[in-house]
Amino acid sequence: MKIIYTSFIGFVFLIVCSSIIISDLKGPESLILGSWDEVSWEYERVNSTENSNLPLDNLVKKEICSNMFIHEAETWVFKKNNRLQLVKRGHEEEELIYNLRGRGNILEMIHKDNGTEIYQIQDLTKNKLVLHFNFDLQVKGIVKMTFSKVD
Amino acid sequence: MLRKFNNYRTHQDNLKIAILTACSAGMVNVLSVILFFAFTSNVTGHYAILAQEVAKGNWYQAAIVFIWISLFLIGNFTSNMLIIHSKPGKSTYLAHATPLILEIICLLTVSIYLQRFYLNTLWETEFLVALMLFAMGLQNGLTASITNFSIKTTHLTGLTTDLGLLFSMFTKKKYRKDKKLRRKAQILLSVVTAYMFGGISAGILHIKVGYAAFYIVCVLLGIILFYDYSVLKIKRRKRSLFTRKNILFSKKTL
Repeated sequence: MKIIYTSFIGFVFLIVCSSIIISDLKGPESLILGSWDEVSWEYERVNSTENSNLPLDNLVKKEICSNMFIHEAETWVFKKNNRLQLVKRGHEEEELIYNLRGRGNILEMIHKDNGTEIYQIQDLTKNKLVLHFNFDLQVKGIVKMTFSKVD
Repeated sequence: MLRKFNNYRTHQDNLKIAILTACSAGMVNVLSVILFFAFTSNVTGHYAILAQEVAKGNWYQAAIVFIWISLFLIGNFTSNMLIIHSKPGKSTYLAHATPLILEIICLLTVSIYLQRFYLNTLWETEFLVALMLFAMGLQNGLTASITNFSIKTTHLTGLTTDLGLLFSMFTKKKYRKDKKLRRKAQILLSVVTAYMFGGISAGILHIKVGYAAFYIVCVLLGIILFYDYSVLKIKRRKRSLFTRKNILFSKKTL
């Protein structure tokens, strides 16, 4: 009987702790707000064993972009009302709607023509945002995009 | 499907409940993946994610995943508690139907919320996933509890293991002739097929009818509820007719 009570109390304690963490900590929804500068594009998985993190040259980047919705923006501005501004050389390139899905690990971007882009948020901190192209739920990281927060 | 308990259940009873609940679980899981990018009928992946988030120090995400897992657990707990604490003599049907009624309420809430109030915020997504996990916990707890832990319809890991073992046993003639094992294989294969069918149809339904696909899951669960209710009613009517006839007969003989 003692084991049952102990496990029950432990379980309730963990639930309470989780609730406190959720209400106190900044979630992905507030962490993502603000301007993010594109820092790098990298191939995460290539058939090379020597260089597993090859930077993408502009030609390859353009080739990928031609088949996808990716905009060659330099700055991504995430706003409070689920709006995302893609800015290139100080000019707004496009405004679209973004949503966070899952446990805040999926970034969904909806274009004006209803086309949808989906990224996996691999890392999201105060100063760093890392996105992976999301082709499939079980596959990730064909291309890794890294952003740094603009103050 | 819901009236009988444990060893009193026939193979047909188990088969019917397995097919219908597996189909609904497949539908719910696929819908949640399409809408929220999160699985809701199984928690194995969530345990792995929880460990990963803790290792990364992502405490917010870890807390969310922990609460999701807990709700699946609470769903199972509630279901079994309702069944084992139902008073003997009272309707077994009612005790077994209550988890299903709660599950329908959860899924209806998800559907109505998505259609009328959903603003695409993260906390809404997290809450709705939690509600669906609780609903799946209720269903899994119900099927496992009333079938003496022999049927679980919301996840297929254990089931695939059992199938692998069974198929290897069937390489021996002695086991191939075993009716019990053949029935077990029939149930397991039915669960897999129904789950897949549910998943595929949910994907198609979501394209055609959007969020209303959840209503179809509720209809499926409603079939389980009302099938037994109608059988009960027919039985009661037959019984009352029989007793009336007996009374008339005894009056005549007097």
